[in-house]
Amino acid sequence: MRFLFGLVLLPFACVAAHPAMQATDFRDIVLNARAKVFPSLVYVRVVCKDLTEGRNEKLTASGSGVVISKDGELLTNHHVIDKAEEIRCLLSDGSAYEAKVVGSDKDMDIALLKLQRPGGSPDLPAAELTPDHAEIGDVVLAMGAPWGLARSVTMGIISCTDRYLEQCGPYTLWYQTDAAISPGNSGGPLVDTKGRVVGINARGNTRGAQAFTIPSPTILEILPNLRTKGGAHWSWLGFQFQPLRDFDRNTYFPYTNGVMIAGTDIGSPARKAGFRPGDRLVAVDGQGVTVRHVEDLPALERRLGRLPCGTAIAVAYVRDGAQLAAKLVPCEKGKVEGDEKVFPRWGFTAKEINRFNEPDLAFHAPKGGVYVAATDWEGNAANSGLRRRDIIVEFDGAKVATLGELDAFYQKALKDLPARTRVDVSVLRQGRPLRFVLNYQEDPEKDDQ
Amino acid sequence: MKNHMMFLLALGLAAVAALGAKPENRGPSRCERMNAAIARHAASAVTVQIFFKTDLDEDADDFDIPYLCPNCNSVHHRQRDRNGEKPYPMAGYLVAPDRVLMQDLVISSNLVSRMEVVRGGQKVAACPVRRYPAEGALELKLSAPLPGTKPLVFASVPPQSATECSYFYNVFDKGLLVSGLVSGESLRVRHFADIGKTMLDVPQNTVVLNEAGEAVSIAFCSPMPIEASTFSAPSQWKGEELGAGEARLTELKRKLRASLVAVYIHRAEEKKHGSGRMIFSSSMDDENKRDIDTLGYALGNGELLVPLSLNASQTAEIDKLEAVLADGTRRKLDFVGAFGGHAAVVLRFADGSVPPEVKPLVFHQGPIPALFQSLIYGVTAANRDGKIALSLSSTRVKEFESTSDGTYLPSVSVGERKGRHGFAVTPAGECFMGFFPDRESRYGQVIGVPAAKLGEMLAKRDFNPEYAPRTGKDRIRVAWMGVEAQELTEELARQKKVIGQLAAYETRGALVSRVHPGTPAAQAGLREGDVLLYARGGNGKRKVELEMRDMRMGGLDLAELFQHADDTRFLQIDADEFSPWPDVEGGINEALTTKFGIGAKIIVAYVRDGKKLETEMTLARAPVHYRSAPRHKAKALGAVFADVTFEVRGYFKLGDDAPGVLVCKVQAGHPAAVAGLRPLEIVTHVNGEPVNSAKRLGELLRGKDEVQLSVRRLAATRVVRIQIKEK
Repeated sequence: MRFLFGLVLLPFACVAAHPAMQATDFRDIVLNARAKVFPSLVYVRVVCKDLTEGRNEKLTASGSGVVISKDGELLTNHHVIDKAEEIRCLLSDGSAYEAKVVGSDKDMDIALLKLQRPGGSPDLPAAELTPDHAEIGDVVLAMGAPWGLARSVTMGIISCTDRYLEQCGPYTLWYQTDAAISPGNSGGPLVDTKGRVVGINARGNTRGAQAFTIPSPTILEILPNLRTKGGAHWSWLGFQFQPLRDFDRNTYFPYTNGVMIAGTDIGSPARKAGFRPGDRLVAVDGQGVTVRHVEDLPALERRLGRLPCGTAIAVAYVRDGAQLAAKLVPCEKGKVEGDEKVFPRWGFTAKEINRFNEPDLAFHAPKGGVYVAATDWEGNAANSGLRRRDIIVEFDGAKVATLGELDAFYQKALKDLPARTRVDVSVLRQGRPLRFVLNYQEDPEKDDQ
Repeated sequence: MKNHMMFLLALGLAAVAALGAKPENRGPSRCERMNAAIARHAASAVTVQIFFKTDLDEDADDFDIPYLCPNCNSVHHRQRDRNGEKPYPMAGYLVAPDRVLMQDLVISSNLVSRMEVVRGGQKVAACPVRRYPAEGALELKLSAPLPGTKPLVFASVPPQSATECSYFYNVFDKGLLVSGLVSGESLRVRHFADIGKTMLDVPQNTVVLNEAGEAVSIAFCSPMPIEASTFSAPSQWKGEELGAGEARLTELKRKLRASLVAVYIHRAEEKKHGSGRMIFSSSMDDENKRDIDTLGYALGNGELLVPLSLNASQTAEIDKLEAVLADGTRRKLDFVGAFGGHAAVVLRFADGSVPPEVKPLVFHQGPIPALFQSLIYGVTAANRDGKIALSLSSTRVKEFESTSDGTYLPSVSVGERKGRHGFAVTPAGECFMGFFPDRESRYGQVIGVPAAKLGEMLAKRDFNPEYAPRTGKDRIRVAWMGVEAQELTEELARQKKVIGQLAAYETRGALVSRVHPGTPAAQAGLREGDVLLYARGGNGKRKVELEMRDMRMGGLDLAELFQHADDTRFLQIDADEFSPWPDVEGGINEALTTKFGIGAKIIVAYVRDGKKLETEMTLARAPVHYRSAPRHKAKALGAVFADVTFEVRGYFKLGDDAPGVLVCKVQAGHPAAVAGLRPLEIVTHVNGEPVNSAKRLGELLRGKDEVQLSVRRLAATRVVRIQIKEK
């Protein structure tokens, strides 16, 4: 599901209003639409850290982007620039620049970059992000660099405008399109026949003509925060919701308004306020709330996510038939993925446990901590018995809760070489305490020379 | 005889002549002498081809002929199954124009289809006529004289000493009949202290020659007692008619049959949980069956000794025990006890009266080493629909093999195929060893147990109380000391300074990762971080290594599963097979249950701070755990629920009083599956009411056509509504 696509499209100015359609050649419509956005299309190449092998490795990846301001702002996917150390952008006129990340949101998979151009550079052609919602059947062009093939344009229609993808972030109700989208198209624009960007392509499906695009109105909602705060800055209440009607699970709650509360996150404002599974939330800040189907969830999540932090809001809910009221103080959602660091001599990548990224590890270690995110398959950690997803509890007899603490042990271990080559490690695996002796006598870099 | 004398004389003359010519030469060279001896006897050497029947049924007698291969001087085996159509060539010696002597393979004559005597491309049919049991020889009568052969002539001049003999041999080697001579100088005389006999390493199947090169005897056994008839001519041997041996064999079979009782065992049809685990497997395969047809060896006191490879939980499921008598009548049997080490149980005729036709199996009293060189029979028996199928495999004891408990036993071929049991008897029908699956062996290896040890076991009645038929919940038996342990990696062993001790006690050890409070281990002072080595029990006689292996660590990672498994695959997950919590029935508890049982006093050896310590404890019964937890099968929902037991509570961090019932299994396509209920989830409430047991859940579901469940995985919760349709 995770593909990087870049796609560029040059809309030729050709407006196709319904009544006037007969008069215009369809080819002209497409060419005009292409001509409007194609000059703003960007081919993105990144060099990023790859920590998934427990070694400090790098890889290159390609994606797409679209320039949205004259001074060189461009949109792409978060996953295109995630862990990137170097971002190079090729514009349609052949000029190439490095880009810096201005703001990025993992939940929405959107990143705002700024091209690093010298002062006084001329204005760039900027594409227009439409605030209007697309309709099913709208003809669209996908632009980008499928499989690294820059400047590609494909065409399709909007297949669905309200696709809910459970595993792909809580805030987005996706556009689905049958325009051919492949890895490399990621971050590229989806363009309507008026030459407006209707969304940013983010996910494809190698097995069929279904690709998914982040709708432009949704992007526009968080664009100011990306620009000024470096991220979406979602607020967090910690509710887990269920719709009133779930056809797939043959589940229908006999209510016409509200949303079912499936549960609350540990330590969240909602948990502290005493909400229980089975309660039904009916109003937030005086406004009614209704989630009849899963497709209604992202809008609610965005609405709650944009509540001001630290300000109490009134919510109304129903428990056992009685309507009750409560006050909730939203707090900053914060990071949705922990930092990670490779310890090459030990042969593993350690990562901070993040409740949003690793809820089950967070369950086993509610106070947070560090876990083994990856091991070098033949490295010291793997050979000593450590496995992926082991939560590190103790190192050398002392509690370890942060990456910094672990790094201090690592630096000391490097200094004490070769006199000392072993350290005791206590981990939690599936909630069970286990002990290991990490033997790091082998120098993994020795073989490489 | 005359010719031979002439030859000798000629030799003598030549020697004299040589002496005259060259005074320093005192006779013919060694080479010349050997050539002369071979020339004299070579015409008596023949090959006997034995054709075995190929259409033998499974229960026909078996054979396994060990023989000393003259080419490589090691023992080879010739077995029925490997023969097929190919004739088996054996050396033979012509002792009269129509008589051949060969080694007696002591196989039942009904295994042989025909025999031929072959030499130089000529062959004639032959049939056995007489046996010489003491010498191990079989005499064949030829249907016609074989051209080009000449019988051996035996001299009456015995050799001065055994080692001065030579031996003329005759082998069928690589398609050729080869004769040769072994000089006596290289032979050994050995004293066998275990048997009290001095024996000569005479090559098997050779003609013994005296110093003059004359035949004085034929050696069919090796080694031979020096004082016996080693050097007497066959004419002086005591033979018996062939029928006599066959009659003895028939009598032996009849006698053995009377001591074997067909036994039928039935195991209750239990739900899979709690009993489906195989603690050890064996070639006998009992543990996979509900109906077991086996057999028992009748003991003197109305009891039967039955080899049976069931573990404690499986034994607990036995609900029917019957003896099937020869006339087909069935008699109820009672369970007496099961041995801890060897997989055998003792049963008793229920009414105490033994059917008159059942005779006790006689156990051999003499020492095992004394069986050296004697004829023995491996007995393979099976229960075929209530009838005892019996086959014998005869062999002469030529070697002993060490067993796992350090005793030496003759190698006998018995009961290797499934459903068969075996023991070994002397020609008198006395059982000197039995074969039983070894409970301690990981692979259910079948091992021989000498009669003396069997007798000791039976006399002491050192039964493991864990092995007994039981009813209901009592069927699940797990002994524990109350610890969770992890594998001791090599690095951990080094850190704990136990590497040397592991080697000394032949254990991989186990690192204690958790000690449950109030358990025997906690009371005995075991602590987290101690390294378990082994446990001893049964007055120190039984020992088990306390080990953990990597496969026990980790188990199923629910998070990974929920992330990657699609719904179809996830529904196939059976919490009985994969569970993320510690397996109470596995690991060291498995060893403790198998070896000692609940209530057994044991001594646990462990290492703390590099020092080996011992502590005594009485094994407790493991608390109700996942596999023994009460369950409710909600048919209308298509799901199975179980009480949450201590280890499941630990995994889900459920407090002792927190409500919850575990979802064990969800049937695809049924209402629970449709509504999204998944295995390894916890149901905390039904229609808003807290639920604490599977039973209570069943009550709350009764009569409802829609229920609302509060469900939780690890951190995530949700509400599940299930429509229950009447079928």
